[in-house]
Amino acid sequence: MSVFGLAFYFALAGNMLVQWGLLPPRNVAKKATPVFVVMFLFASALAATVDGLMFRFVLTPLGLESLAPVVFVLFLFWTNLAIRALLSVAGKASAFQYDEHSFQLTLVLYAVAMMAGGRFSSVWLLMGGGAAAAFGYLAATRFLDDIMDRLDLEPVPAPFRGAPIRFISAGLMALAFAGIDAGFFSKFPG
Amino acid sequence: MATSERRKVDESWVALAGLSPLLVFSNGLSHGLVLGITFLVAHSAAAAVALLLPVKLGRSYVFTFSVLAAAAAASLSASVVRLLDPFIFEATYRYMFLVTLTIPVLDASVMPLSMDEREYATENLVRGLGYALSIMIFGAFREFLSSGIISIKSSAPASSLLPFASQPAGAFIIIGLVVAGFRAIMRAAKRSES
Repeated sequence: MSVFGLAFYFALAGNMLVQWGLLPPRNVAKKATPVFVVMFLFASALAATVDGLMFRFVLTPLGLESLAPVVFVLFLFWTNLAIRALLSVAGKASAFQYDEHSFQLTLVLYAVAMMAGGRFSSVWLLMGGGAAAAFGYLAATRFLDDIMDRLDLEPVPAPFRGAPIRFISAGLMALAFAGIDAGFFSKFPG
Repeated sequence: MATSERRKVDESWVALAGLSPLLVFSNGLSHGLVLGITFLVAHSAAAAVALLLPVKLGRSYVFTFSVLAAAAAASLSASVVRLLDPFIFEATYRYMFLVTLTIPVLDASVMPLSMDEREYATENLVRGLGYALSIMIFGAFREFLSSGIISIKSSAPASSLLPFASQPAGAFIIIGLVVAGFRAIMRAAKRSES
């Protein structure tokens, strides 16, 4: 797959938000600082690379390919705890603090690794795939938040306010992504 | 919006957002059964370990052990599925381990401290059963909408009734409509009571 095709795939058809149903809390993307975005892209590229290399050089020689997801889940969990412990030493966070948003981001990293990790053999493509998937996820999240902001100005019926209209908007966005992908993806083969 | 109302909306959002990856993947009865049972096993293991481990271990260690128990339970479930039907295992194994990182399972892994919280923790097991059933029923419902039939076989002949219901886009829209419908019914019930 070409780099252009890779970026196109992860931005639309393979988008983490619409393919894996990973909807973050509202306005997370709007509050994201440039430093957070860069760190997230880096973490995502790293997750895909670690998963890909672990699969190829550790699990496959041992014949344990089907254990890849659980090994990666445990790797992510321990990494998350280690980062929180380091942040707590620096006084910036409480270790082991329960936080839905950080766990949702951990889920995104798992999804990125599962999507990109087993797909490529080149380290550069693994890193590029991971970063493209994270960028696609952040862009789709921002797009969904903008839709929700616009819908705040409309008289949405009471039972649809909040979660239902957010899910329906995400569904319509997923339909649009699938349509664009079906129409144009075949133009960027290889 | 009042603070209490906003908190309720946030809580319902967290529960829905936590389950949504599993609901999106559950596009048929067979996938729904596999994911629902794996969720039930992992959730119950996490809740039981969080409840039964001694309090003196501390919250952080109990949380870690509970998540490990959930991962082990998901692995066990995956092994059983692999023995029963290797094709369903191949189609679902990535998502079966995703269960360990979902918010309801992580929520169940937090050790209850007070007596009130411990009583609430036993409710966690019942809540897990409810979540698992919703994943299975949602899968069956989507299969019926997309193909007009419900079958336990993953390779059942597919007709096309509303094919987009089996796609992630269909899952999102159906979740939204179901939640909105449920809310409308609850509102109507409250209005008729008053």
